[in-house]
Amino acid sequence: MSNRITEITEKLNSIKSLEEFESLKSQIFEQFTVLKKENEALHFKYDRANKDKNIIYSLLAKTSKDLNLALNSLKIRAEELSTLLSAIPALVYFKNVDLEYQLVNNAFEDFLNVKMANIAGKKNNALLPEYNNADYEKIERDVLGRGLPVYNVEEVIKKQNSEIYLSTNLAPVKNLSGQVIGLVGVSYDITDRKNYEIELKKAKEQAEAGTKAKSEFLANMSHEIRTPMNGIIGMAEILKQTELNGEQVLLLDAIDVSANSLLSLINDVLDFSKIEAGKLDFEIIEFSLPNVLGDVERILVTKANEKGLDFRINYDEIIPEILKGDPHRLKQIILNLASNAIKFTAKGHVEVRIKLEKNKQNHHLLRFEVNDTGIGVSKEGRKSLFREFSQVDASTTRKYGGTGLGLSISKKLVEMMNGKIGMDSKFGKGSTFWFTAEFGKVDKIDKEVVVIEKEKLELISRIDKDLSVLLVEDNKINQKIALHNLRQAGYKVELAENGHEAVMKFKSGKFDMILMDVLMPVMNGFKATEKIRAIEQYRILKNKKFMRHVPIIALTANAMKGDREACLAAGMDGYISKPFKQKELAELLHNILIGNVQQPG
Amino acid sequence: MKVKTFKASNLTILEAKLAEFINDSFNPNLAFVFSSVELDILQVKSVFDKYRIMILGASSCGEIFYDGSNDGIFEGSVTVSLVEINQSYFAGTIIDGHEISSMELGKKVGAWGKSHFQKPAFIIAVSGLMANGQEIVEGVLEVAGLDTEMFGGLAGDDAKFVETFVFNGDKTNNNGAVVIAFDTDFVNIRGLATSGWVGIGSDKIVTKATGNILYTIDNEPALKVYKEHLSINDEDLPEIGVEYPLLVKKDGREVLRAVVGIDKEKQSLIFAGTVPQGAVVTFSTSPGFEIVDHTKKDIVEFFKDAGKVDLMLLFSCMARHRALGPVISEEITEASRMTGLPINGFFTYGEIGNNGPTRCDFYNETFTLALISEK
Repeated sequence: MSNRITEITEKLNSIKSLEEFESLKSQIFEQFTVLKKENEALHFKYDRANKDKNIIYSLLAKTSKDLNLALNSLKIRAEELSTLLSAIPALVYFKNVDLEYQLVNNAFEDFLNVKMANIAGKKNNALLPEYNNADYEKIERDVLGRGLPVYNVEEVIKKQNSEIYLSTNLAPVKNLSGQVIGLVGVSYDITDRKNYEIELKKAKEQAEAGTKAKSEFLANMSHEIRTPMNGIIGMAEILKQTELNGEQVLLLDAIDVSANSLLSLINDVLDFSKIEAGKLDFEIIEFSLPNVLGDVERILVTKANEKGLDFRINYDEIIPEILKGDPHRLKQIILNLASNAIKFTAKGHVEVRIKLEKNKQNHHLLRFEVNDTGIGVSKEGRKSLFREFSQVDASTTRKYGGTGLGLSISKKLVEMMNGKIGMDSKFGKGSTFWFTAEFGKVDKIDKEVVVIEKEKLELISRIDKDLSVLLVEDNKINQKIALHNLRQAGYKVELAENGHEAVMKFKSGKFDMILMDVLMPVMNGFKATEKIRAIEQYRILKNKKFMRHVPIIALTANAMKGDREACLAAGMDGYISKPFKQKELAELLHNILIGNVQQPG
Repeated sequence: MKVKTFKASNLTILEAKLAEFINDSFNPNLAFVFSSVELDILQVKSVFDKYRIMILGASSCGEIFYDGSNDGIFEGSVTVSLVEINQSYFAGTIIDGHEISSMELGKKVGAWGKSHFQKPAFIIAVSGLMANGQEIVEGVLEVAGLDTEMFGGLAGDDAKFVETFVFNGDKTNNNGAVVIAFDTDFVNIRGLATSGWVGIGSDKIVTKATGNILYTIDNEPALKVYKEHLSINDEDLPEIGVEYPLLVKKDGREVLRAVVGIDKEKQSLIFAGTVPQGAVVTFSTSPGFEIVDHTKKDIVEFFKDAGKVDLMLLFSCMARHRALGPVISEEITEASRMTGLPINGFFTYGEIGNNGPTRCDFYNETFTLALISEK
């Protein structure tokens, strides 16, 4: 503006004549107009500045006051947070994204015996060089990377020769825009809890070992009891063959019944202790369901008829005949439920029904029901029915006997078959016990199972007549019982006292079957079987006409899981518990010959 | 499109100029008329009665007219742009806003536009001091499409804040919208909106508000907060409130909202657009006269690829005039210098427009320029 005024003044001063003034007049007026506008703008700006001044001052003063208040409340808040942080009874730390400590609380300082000033900006390895940080830092990086918390990171820190267990919860810290700027860790000393856990684990292991030892003891005891029991039952059977008077027959029957029920109790206890010890053998083989049901019927129909009960088995025709599973265990469950039903039913019927519940891709789910018209079970009784050592009440035990283990064993077996067990009943109006079980499907029935070799067929035709048997047994009483039973059946029997003798006799003789005790002096049953199989191989090489595989059946008192495998591994075809009945033996041999029992590999 | 723009300081001159311009070689069928309430708005309208011209008229808070021979700023006058354009390229109406919400009014405008053209663009002026400019824009866009181009402003009354008007050839209205819809197949509308206002002071929270009525800030009566912060009295509002609007921050977006009315009884403030509850607000001010340089830079930048222009309409906030005084002339003359065409417009109580390629919005404190051209 002042430039413009100077310019105008100079122009006015330079005017020498009226003519010159006339010629410059419009230029000068134009300058004045601009000058006027600039003057107006200046005045406006001045007035405006005066007006704005107060408002802006007021706004700034108010803002400054607001800021001071905010600052003050922030300070108070910070103090509160700091107090709170110090009071937290856990180690709290905050690290930045480079995993450098930014802030820790008092508990943390005390734990490491350091001061915040010395921790800030440091990494773990600078603070705890003796402690392996790599794994821990990997977890921390994971928290930073994924932006998600991680709970219960456990670590052990050695401090003054003692081990301290820490459990840490880690959480990412994000800024307002959601970007991860670090992490917060909260660690608890869980040493006491950890030590307690270790003690607890030890105690649990001890308890489990105790249970296992108990089960093994029970299993062994049952075996020890079974050996003399075999003696009693066997001898009673032999005694039955002799001439007896009426009273003697009655007494002998009483011995037989008592001994057999004692044996069945022992078998229950043995099974149960095997389950407890995890030693129950359970096989998966192809078997014929009608055969299993036929066995059940044979065993139970007489018992039922004796009580005047109608016993029948009905099954769904669409259920395939050949299934995959454990036929013996299945039989055991059905027998248990059905013989219970017979036991608790005074009149009417006991019926076993089998239905196809589900047809799945790889297996069938079958439902077995045992329906009776017996005494039934009350609502309270049902609750504990499947628990071990439990019967409906003490009076039941007195009246009907039993260990109370049968149903609980059945329950365990059903569970092993991926099934369920239960019962529906009205007290006094009969009951229906049921269970479901899974059985594998058989893709195609192996021809070999059905087509029986000619040689075997011939042998089968003689099973019930005149087999030549090599009996290998060292125990004198067992020898007597077995010899008697076999001869009674019309078999020709040769006896070997031990394994060695058995091998010798096998070399020189010709036998349809060998019954082999396992534990014997000089040479045990396994070793003898191996030798016999080796001889067979040699003979097959030389003369193919010779029957290439003589069935060897182990005679065992102690059918624990490992023994059975050892039998099969040694080249035996099956096993039978002492004392065996001829009927059982014939059945087993039949099954071996038609391939219904797992063959040794 | 033929255009003639002029200014008249009274009705006699207006009548004379219309008679002078309208002849056999120029037969306008559309006019944009912005008039001070000092001239009787009904009278202004009646001057046009003998011509068959569709009018978009609004009362102003100062008129803008620049043809190279003045400084562009007037008071107590009327400015006119007469347009001769294919009758089928546009339509006009006035829609009453009494008894309906601003949102409803906006929707009606949008629907009316869509009933005329597949893709309409709008020039709009809104009357009524309680009108919520933001809701009107939202209503129009909801019906006509989010990419709709629309420019215009809230009518003024020379800072009396008593009654504002819009009018067309048929009627005047003190609570409604006057609209011209153009068929975008034949007519281009685009423009820019620039402010330069800056926030000042600490952040505050809107604790109670409905629509464009603000009851409490930080749990204190809004009117009290306003007066305390600016050290002013009731009678200074809403005038000073227009110059020191609230900068409203919500969802990452910042808009200026000017006070256009107060309710002493309820201690509340009435704004030209929505102030949402929960939003963060600060006071704002023009940082100084240099914002004119800022506007001029934006204008130069915008005109680099603005293309052909037939008519320029300017909707500038009355607060800019208040704050910048005669200096505001620089931004008006700068815009005219870019095209060599005259500028017609008025100082508003609120502006509507698309800033370049962005969505149409409602503003306060802006220089909003609309360019209209035939394709």
